Amino acid sequence: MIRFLSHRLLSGLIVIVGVSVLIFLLARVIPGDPARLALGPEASNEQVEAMRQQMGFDRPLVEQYARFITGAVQFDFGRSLYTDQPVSSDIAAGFPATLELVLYSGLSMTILGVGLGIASAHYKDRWLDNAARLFSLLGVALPNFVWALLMMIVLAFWYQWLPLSGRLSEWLTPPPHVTGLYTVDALIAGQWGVALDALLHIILPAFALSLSGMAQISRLTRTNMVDSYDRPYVEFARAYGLSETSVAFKWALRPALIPTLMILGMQIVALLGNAFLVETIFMWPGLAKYGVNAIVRKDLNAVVGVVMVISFFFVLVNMIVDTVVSFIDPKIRLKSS
Amino acid sequence: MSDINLSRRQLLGTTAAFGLVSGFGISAAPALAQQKRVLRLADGNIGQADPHKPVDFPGSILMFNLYDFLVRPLPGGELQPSLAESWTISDDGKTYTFKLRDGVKFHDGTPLTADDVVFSANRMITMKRGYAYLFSDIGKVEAAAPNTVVFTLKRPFAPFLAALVRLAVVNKALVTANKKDGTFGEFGDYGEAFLGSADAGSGPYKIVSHNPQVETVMEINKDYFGGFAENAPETIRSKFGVEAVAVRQLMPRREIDLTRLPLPPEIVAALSKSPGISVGPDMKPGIFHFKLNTQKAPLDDVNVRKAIALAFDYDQLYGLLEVAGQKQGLPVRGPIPAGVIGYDADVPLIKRDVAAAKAALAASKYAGQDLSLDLVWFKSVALQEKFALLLQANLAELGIKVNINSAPWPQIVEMATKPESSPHICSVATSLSTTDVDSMLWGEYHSSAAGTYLSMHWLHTPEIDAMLEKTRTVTDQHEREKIYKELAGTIREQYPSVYLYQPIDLAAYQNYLRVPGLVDPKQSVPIMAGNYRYDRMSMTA
Repeated sequence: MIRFLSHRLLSGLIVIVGVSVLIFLLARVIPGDPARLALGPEASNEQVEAMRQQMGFDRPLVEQYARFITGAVQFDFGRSLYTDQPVSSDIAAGFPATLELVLYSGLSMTILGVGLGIASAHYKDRWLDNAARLFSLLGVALPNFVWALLMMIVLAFWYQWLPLSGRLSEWLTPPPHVTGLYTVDALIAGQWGVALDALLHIILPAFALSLSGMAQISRLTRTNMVDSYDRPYVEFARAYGLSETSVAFKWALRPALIPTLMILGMQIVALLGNAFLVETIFMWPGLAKYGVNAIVRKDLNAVVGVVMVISFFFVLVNMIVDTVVSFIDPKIRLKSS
Repeated sequence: MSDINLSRRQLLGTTAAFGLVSGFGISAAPALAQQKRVLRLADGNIGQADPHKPVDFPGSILMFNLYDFLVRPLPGGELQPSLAESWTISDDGKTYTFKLRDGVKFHDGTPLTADDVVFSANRMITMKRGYAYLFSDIGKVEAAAPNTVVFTLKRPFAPFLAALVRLAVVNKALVTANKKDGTFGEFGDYGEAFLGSADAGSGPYKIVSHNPQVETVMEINKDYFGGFAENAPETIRSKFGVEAVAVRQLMPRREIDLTRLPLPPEIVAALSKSPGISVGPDMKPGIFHFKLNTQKAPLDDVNVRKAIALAFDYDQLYGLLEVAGQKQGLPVRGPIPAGVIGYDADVPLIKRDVAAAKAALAASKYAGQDLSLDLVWFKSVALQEKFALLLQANLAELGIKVNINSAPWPQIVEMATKPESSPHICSVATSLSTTDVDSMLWGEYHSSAAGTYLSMHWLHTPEIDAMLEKTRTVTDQHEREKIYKELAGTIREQYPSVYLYQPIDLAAYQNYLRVPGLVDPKQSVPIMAGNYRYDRMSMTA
């Protein structure tokens, strides 16, 4: 097991270093002088040159990379040209909002996606299965932002059941910072009303963000579980007199869950990047929106910082998924060892 | 205010929500209980709180409301004494002496003195950020007495007084007390980190909280010497990074009171029809152009440029600019927009004349050749594509092929650095940074400022340079006006641009909010964010 984990850790490290070189170079290939963009067209050449020197853009690429990587390991990505704040504090401000969104979205994707898949497979070709398949089809066919807009118009604008935007009603003060996740921090502080308000705010964006992934998870779980139901060992379990629930969860679901888990890991991390449009529509002050704005404005330090943080979580979540899968399927663990 | 006018459904929903929330033991609706006049502004991008850095709209709004200036612009562009009670200008136009108003205090209660003005000017010049270039001609700035400041310029610079509308005066003692290690010697970081999230001003509003990507909350500074409009907003919530689609949903629910975001036509139309919401024009002192690269064949021939300008269908363009009965642009008569010095209302508007365009083309050295031009438009503004397609169709009548491409802003900025990388035609908007037309024309037409998107026409001649330099040395406004009119004529004859229109931003606002510059064009202040001074606004129930 230790060998398995160290192998995963090493490959994760290689990925991170590779991404750091790639994004560092790519950010500098985007056309446009970042100093000129930040200072505006009327700025004198002297102003632009002073800023380039201040930001170190006049130094050789290798030196710039060395400075970047030295800072990055200390979570110092330099200053943002756009917000004029340290990138690390921008990330620290936006990341909890996106993380909270992604966690709730991932939760909804997992519970509803796997649940629908199981129900669909169990009641194959009956009305529940047909309804779930139609729902999955719509989820895959329509992009997140369309769902976001539709739900916003119907549930928040027409019926006004849920808030339209933001993380918290403006008359409430955010809970004391512990994790940065408002729902969690409010519970820790015992502010139940704030927790409820934060929860009401997150329902729409999290659900809209999760729909596409939820549909894929549901379809995948159903297909694999239907396949499992046809296997001789399920027939054997039934012949042995086991209950249908036991057959479904212990014999049909467990082998069907491995591909689902692999996809789930990737889907959850992908939510970090895909959150941009949903964050934009719901005025959610998150990292994805910050990252896209940084790219548009060629805010080099911010682009690199955001990509590095997302890559880190991509590697981390994949390691967690690999570990979980290895527990479910010992063959994988043994093969790797 | 916005909390008071609730529909029945909103009232029921809100009451239920408050009941639910207060059931959990918190005070749910202080906003309703206190009935404060809260103004919620929806803005794009981010808000930069340091007044010596931003050159954009959100930062300018914060600057004008949190800080004060020696002079402030009035509707129409005239300058009004603000922190300066009076001033004198030496005969050689190089020394400006300002007598400061007595009794002005910063938000923390510290008296504002000449030392603060000196510190602010030096901070701006040293840090070289934002509008620092406007003050590059300052030789020295001194406090001759606690209430007297003397600026000595290296050379006469007539637009200096107008430039001072961008010199926010910061509290020296507060900034110095909060300085951190930095690259500015004894001044450390010059308070960069501190002023990024706090204010050190004496303006009509003060910062309560500031998150550059989310929201700035300001509250009224009741001690402000300039006074307020009746029922001026007491609390301002400037929300950043808001998208047009969110405005469409939030304004009818009265969760946004005012927005200056560029809204797509369909959203403007929808908001115009919403009860209680109006859309008003925010006049912009600028011009929208198709810049023609005069150094790239075949546009190096003035006759080809003239043919393009004459072939363009301006009437159809004005039709495209009309949304829900509101105009998004006014016809222009050359390089100087209406309402600023040098604008000449006697110059006829350029009209489409295909016969004259064909004649001009025939007179060019490229007559009879197959001409192909590249046109680039800024990707984020969909309307620009329509303008490009219109020009493409118009030039097809002359036998000129136009290849249309869009580009993101960083790419356009990069293209603008050299004549050879600049496209034949590029759609660009230019505008004044101060109330003086020099702040726009110098960047566009003086050869020393070439290489930015403002000068993508690459028309730089000794004659134009000399005229621009002369306008900086002449202090007599009538004389300056004469030179600017002459300069505009000289530029017009060279056809460096197809001058399309003077932009008007459409701002949506709730009817219980009165924004003078949006209701009455005569009240409009011709400077970026000039109509967004909250102390001039009023909110009624």
